[in-house]
Amino acid sequence: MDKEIQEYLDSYKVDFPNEEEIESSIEYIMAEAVPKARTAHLFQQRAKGLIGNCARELLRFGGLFWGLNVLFLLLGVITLVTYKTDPYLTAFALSPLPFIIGILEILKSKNEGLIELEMTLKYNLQQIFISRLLVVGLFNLVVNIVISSICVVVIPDVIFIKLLLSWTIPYVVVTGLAFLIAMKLKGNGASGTLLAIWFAVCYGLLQVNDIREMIVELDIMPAAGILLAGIVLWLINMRKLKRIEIGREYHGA
Amino acid sequence: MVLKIENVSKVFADKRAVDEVNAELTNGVYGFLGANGSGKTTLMRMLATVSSANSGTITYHGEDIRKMGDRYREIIGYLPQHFGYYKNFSVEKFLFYIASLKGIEKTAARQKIADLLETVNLTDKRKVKMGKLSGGMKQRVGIVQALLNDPKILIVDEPTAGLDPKERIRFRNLLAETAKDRIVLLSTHIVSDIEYIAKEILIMKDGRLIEKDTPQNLLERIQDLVWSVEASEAEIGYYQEVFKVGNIARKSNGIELRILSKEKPAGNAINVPVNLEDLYLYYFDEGVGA
Repeated sequence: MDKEIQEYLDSYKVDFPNEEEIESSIEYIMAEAVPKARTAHLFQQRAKGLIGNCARELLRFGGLFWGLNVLFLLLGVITLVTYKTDPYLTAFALSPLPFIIGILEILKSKNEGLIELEMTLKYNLQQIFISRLLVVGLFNLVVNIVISSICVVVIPDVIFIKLLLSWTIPYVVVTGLAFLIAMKLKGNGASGTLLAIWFAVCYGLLQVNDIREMIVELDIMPAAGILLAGIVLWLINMRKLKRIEIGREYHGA
Repeated sequence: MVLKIENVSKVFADKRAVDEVNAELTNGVYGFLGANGSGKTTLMRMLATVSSANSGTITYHGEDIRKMGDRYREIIGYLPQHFGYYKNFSVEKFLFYIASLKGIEKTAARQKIADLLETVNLTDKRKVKMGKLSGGMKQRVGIVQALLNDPKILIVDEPTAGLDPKERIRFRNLLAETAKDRIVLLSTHIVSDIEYIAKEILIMKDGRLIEKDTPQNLLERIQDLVWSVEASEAEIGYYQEVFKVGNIARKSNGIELRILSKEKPAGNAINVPVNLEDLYLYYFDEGVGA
C-alpha cells in the first residue's frame, strides 16, 4: 500500500529547477510585477506632488485675492441679512466671484513673464496651473457652501435644491467660460475685465423679470443640460492646459 | 554625460529657425555664437523643453528628453533670455518658490539658497523685493535659481545682455566655476562672454550650425587672414568698401584698421594674432566684400 502511495506521489514529483531556470523565472515575474508597483508608486508620487503644489500655491496667494473675497462675501451676507435680497439671485450673482478674482492668481505666471521658466521646472507650468485651479475652485466651492448655509439658517423657507442649482450653474459654466476667455486675454487685466463683465451681465439679467424668474424656477433637466455645457467648457480648458506639456509653446495656451 | 542633438529642425510659419542641427555635448562650457535671429534661442528653448523640434531628436544618455519629462526637467537649470519674476516677492521668497517647484526640500533649499546668494554676492539683498533690484542683480538671481537643483545641464540664453562690464566678468567667472561637472550651454552674441571659458564654440547662422570646434582651432583657421593697416582718415571709406574692417583705432600717430582679408590689403599691412572678434566678423559680417 505504502509503495502504491509512493509511486502515486512520485508521479507528481517536480524537479528542483536549475539556477538558470530560477533566474529566468525571477526576470519574468519582475517584468510583470514591477510595472504595477511602479504605477502605484507613480500615482502616489503624483498625488503627493499635487497636494504639495496646492499647499505651496495657496500660501503664496496675494492679499488682493483674500481681501476681495472677504469683501464680496461680507457684501453678500449683508445684503441677504439686512436687505432681505432674494437668496437664489444673490447666490447666483456671488457664486463665480471667487473664481473670477482667482484668475489673477492662476495666471500670474503669464502676467509676470514666468511662463518660459516655469515650463522647465520639475513641477511645470501645466501642474502649477492645475494646482492653482484646484485651490481656487475648492475655495470657491467652500464660499458657495458657506453662503448656502447662511441662507438656510437665515431664511427658513428657502428650498435647498433650488438654492443649490442657482449657484452650481454659474459656478460651473461662468467659471469655465471665464477661464477660457482669460487664457486668451493679453495683459494682467483679465480678472478685472471679467469681474466688470459679470457685474454688468448680472445687473442686465436681473433687471428683466422673466430672466429672474427663469433663474429661480429653473427645472432640473434644463439645469442639467446647462451644467453639461459647463463641463464641456472645462474639458476644453483642460485640453488646452494639457497642450502646455513638454515641448509645446505657450501661446495663451 | 552626453546630450545629443540629432537632425533637429524647427520651422515657424514663415521661417526655418533651426535647420538640421547635429551636435554631441559633454561636460564643459559650450558657447553658442550667432547674430540675432541665427536660431540660438530657438535651439536653447528646445534644449530646455520650452519648445519642441519639428523633426529630429534630442537625447540625454540615449533617452529622448521629451519622453523623460520631469526626469529631464529635474536635471536642467535654465535662465531664459527674458527672465521673469514675481516683483512683489523678496529675493529669498522667490528662490524658495522656485526651489519648491524644482522639488527641493525646504531644509536643503535654505542651505543652497544661502550658499548661492553668497557666491553671487547678494546675501545682503535677500529680503529686497525682486522689483527693486538692478538689472545685474536680477541676472544674478536668475543664475542662482538656475543652479538651485545642481543641474547636470545648465542652459543660459544671452545672460549678459544689459550687464555692465564688471557684472559681465563676474557672471562669466561664475559660469566657469560651475561648469566643472556639468554641461553648460551659453548662448550669446558677445564674443568676450565665451572667449576664455568655452570648451567649444558652436557658430550658428540662419538656423544652421556652421562650426563646432575649440576656440583655438577656430582661430587657427583664420590666423592668416587678419591684418593691421595704418591708414589716413580719407582711406577709411575705401577699406570699408573693399574689405571686412573690424576695429578702427584712432592713435596719436594715425588710424589703425583691423582688416580681414585673404590677400595683403596694403603694402604696410602686418599680419596680427587673431581673436574671437575677428572670428565673429569673419562669419557674420557679410555686407562687406573681401
